[in-house]
Amino acid sequence: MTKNSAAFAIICLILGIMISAQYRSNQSSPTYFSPDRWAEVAIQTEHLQNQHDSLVNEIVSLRYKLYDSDAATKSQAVQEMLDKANIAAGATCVTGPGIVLILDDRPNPQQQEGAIYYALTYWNILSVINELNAAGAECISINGERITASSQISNQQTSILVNQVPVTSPYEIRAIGKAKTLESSLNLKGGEVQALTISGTRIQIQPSEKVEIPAYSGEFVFQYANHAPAE
Amino acid sequence: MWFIVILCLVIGVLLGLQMPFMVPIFLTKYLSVAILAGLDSLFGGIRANLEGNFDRVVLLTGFITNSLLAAGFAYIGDLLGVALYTAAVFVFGVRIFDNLAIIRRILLTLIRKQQTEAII
Repeated sequence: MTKNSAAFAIICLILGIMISAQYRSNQSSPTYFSPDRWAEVAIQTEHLQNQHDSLVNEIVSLRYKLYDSDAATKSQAVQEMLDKANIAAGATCVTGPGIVLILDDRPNPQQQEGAIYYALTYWNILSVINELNAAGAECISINGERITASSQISNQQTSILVNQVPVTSPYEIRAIGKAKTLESSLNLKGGEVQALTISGTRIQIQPSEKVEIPAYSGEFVFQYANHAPAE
Repeated sequence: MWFIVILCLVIGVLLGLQMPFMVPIFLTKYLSVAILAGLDSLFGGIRANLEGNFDRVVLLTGFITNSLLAAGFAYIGDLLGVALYTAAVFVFGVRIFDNLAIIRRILLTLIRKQQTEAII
């Protein structure tokens, strides 16, 4: 075989390998969108997000309809119990005095370059919620997600999920309760707020006369729990 | 001789299909431009061979540098946010079509010459 055809042979070999490798990886990743399709995906995402938002609003308003439709027929005691149960479950929006706590862990543009900043984890937020509950908070929400008895705050890669919904910094935590008590217990020495301030998170606590907390927009499903009869 | 070359192509394809590791997904775009550049130098080499001014070193160096440059071009385009990848695809596509046209023309001339010589 002449040297010329050897050169051709080598090139054909390498090309053959490249072509079939490319073909294989193209076949096995149909979900990879080329940049031309990003606009399409973005439009679809926005559309789905709008749909999701309107469905959430519908759930809350339907709950209210259900709640109000029975009001006329029930006695006073049952109505009070129903109110309390609804507030405790998170099925309705609530307002009342309380505080709005804002945790901002985004990189500070005023800090020098190279300053290390600490990103909040779900554990920090859990600690803050715990302290608020210990101080007598009656209802809590994080970035618009109502915290119920079965809410979870978890991690997914680099973002924090509350009730399976991703939330991003800055985190706005609203709590209804006695504003002074809530604020002072948050500011106690050795608390989470102190630890976070030291590590660079910017924290604002605003007491307010009228804090509005949204309803829990998910489902209440009890597959395993049943009412137990009184002993 | 050409038989061995085509055999190598087939062997390459089979080898690539059997490879135990896959190309990472984010590299496939650059690999596709590199393949285009490789095809362009292959057809350029065939054309040079038919025209008689074939240089082995030009073919090999051209293959390697064109493939790397094309992939690098696409990568820089990604860094800058401009679709330079499209420019590479366009240029190599045009060159492949040109080379194929000239190859076709040369082959037809050869075939016609053989036919007229056979008649004579």
